[in-house]
Amino acid sequence: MNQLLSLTLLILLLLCRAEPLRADVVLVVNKSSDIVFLSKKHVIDIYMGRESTFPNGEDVVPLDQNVESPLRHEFYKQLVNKQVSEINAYWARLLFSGRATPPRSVDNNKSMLIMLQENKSFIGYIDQNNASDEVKIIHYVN
Amino acid sequence: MSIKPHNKIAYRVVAVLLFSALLVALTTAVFFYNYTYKQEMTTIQSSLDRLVNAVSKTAAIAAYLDDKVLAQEVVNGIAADDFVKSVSLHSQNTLIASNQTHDAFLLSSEIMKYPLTSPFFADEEVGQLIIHGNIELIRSQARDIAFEHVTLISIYSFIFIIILLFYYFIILLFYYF
Repeated sequence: MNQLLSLTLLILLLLCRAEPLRADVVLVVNKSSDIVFLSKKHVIDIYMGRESTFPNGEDVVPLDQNVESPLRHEFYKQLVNKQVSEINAYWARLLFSGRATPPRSVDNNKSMLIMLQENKSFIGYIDQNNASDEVKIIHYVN
Repeated sequence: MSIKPHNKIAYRVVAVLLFSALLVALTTAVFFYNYTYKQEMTTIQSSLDRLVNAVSKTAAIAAYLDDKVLAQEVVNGIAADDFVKSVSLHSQNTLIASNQTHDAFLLSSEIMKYPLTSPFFADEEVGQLIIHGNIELIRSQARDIAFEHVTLISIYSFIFIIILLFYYFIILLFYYF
């Protein structure tokens, strides 16, 4: 009986498709920021160095998750459908021109939230589950 | 001294052979000249397309960011090709890099335009790369190669006619004299 149960469980496990967990990435800013919404295009332009201000003209400083963070991979995949390696190649091309610089990397979610609370110019992305009252969601990446 | 009837026929055959051979050689030469010329023009155009294709991603990034330094690198890279007279890179409607004055492009009719799409939005055009081909050099090279081919074909035809005549006279000598 136990063998039959184990076999059934094994078959069920094999039938299940192993899909990676898909985080709901959100763009957040300081809660006192005047910004309430950002278009996808504006988010891309900020993160790719084309835009250096919010739509209201205030300066914006994008923050990136740690290089190893799975959320970083998820963010770029959902935002521009590119791998982090492709994004790195993009920045490598711009290394010597000085026109744009890559977003500042932070160690983890906690650091990201602390920095966002400290400065109205910062913009960052986190998993929606980690969003607190101290930050304001202005864009759902997916 | 009168020409014998069999000699008359022989001369006529030689004349017909010569005329036919010359006609074929001439027609082939004209055909090959045009064919080679067109082929060469296409080859040069393709090599320019490949050159642009190789730098199009960097050019698109330069146009996307209005990055003058990067744009100038792209322009200089393309301009190094002998078949390129001048290059300019535009973002939207602004000239961001060029290896010549803007007026030169406006006056020219021999320009090739390559649209640049955003590195992140496939449907957004962020600028264009304008190349002024060195048409004189392209045509001259195509002409030279075509002429080379025709010269070779003419030499082969001439040798073939000589050999043909030689064998013909050998046969004549053998049968009539």
